[in-house]
Amino acid sequence: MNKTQGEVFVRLADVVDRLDTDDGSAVLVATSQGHRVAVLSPLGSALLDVLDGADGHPIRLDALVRALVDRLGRPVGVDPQQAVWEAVHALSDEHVVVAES
Amino acid sequence: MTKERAADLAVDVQALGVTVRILVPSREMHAAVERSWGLCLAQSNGGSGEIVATVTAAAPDDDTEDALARAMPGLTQQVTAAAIRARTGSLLMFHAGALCDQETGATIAVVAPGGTGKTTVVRTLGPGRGYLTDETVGVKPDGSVVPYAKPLSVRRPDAFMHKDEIPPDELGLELPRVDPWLAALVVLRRDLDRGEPVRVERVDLLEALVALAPETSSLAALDRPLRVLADLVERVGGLRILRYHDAEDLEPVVAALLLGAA
Repeated sequence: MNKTQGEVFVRLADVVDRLDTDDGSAVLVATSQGHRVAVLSPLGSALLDVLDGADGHPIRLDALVRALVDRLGRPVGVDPQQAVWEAVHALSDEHVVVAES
Repeated sequence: MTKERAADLAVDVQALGVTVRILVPSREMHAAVERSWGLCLAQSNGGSGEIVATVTAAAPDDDTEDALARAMPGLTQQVTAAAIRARTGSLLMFHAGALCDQETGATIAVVAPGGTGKTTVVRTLGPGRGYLTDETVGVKPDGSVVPYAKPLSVRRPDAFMHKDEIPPDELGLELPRVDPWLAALVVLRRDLDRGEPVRVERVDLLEALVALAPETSSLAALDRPLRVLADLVERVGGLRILRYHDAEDLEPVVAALLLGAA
């Protein structure tokens, strides 16, 4: 994890509802353009679980990585920091999380 | 134009199951509103009931029919907005047109953003079926559909930015004769070339939620909105995307969906 990533804090955006099914999970988010649904990857779903447990408080990215490794185990052949960073980016693009430095 | 006190000139219309009172500025406009909203008139639909909102029609620029016609689209938007506000939290509402089978009540909702084909599909495939709306479909938790048989908003061929509000009966449309219930939910995509056969594409549940959520009104005000939306999608056998070019090409697909055969 580089210095920039380590200083990033992540929090949930305006997530209105969540649906978990056998085929995956989705969330309903409120944006300035209205409401939209984002489908979550398994990592994204776990990431939201961690953020949801923080009661709205931002979590530092390196702490988020540790929490996800504790929850999911260390991935094989994948850098967990990079995987989480990419997941945060994807969820930020979907207005599901907010990443701030 | 005969000027009247606005309060003396009211038209009560049924929209999404509630009564909205329209105050109009003149007898001429009163007559025009009654004509355009003929299928929604509260008196013709079992009485006014409680009036949940009152909207005031803007006065037309002059006495001409053209000026009256130009005042109508804004009024329709006001009524729609008032009805949606009134049903927020109690109805699942889509930006969609809807038609039903006049014997079974089986209803198809054609979901699409504004200006992308809902009205054309409804006016093309509507004669012989029950007309529910060309703009906003309201669905109750039990799957029954609440009519909003508003005038159809038809773009003028000679003025791209202007729409006329056409009375449904002038287009051969009539109210449902039996209680409508949602049997099929489709998203319209008018992206094929002329002559290409209609394509029917099924999408899985989560992708259906992604496609439908932006085409809803006040979804988040429902209790457990994603569960409600998912249950509805599953009840109608899943969401389908209809890719087409000409609305008349959709006739056999719509007929099959209403028969439950597609």
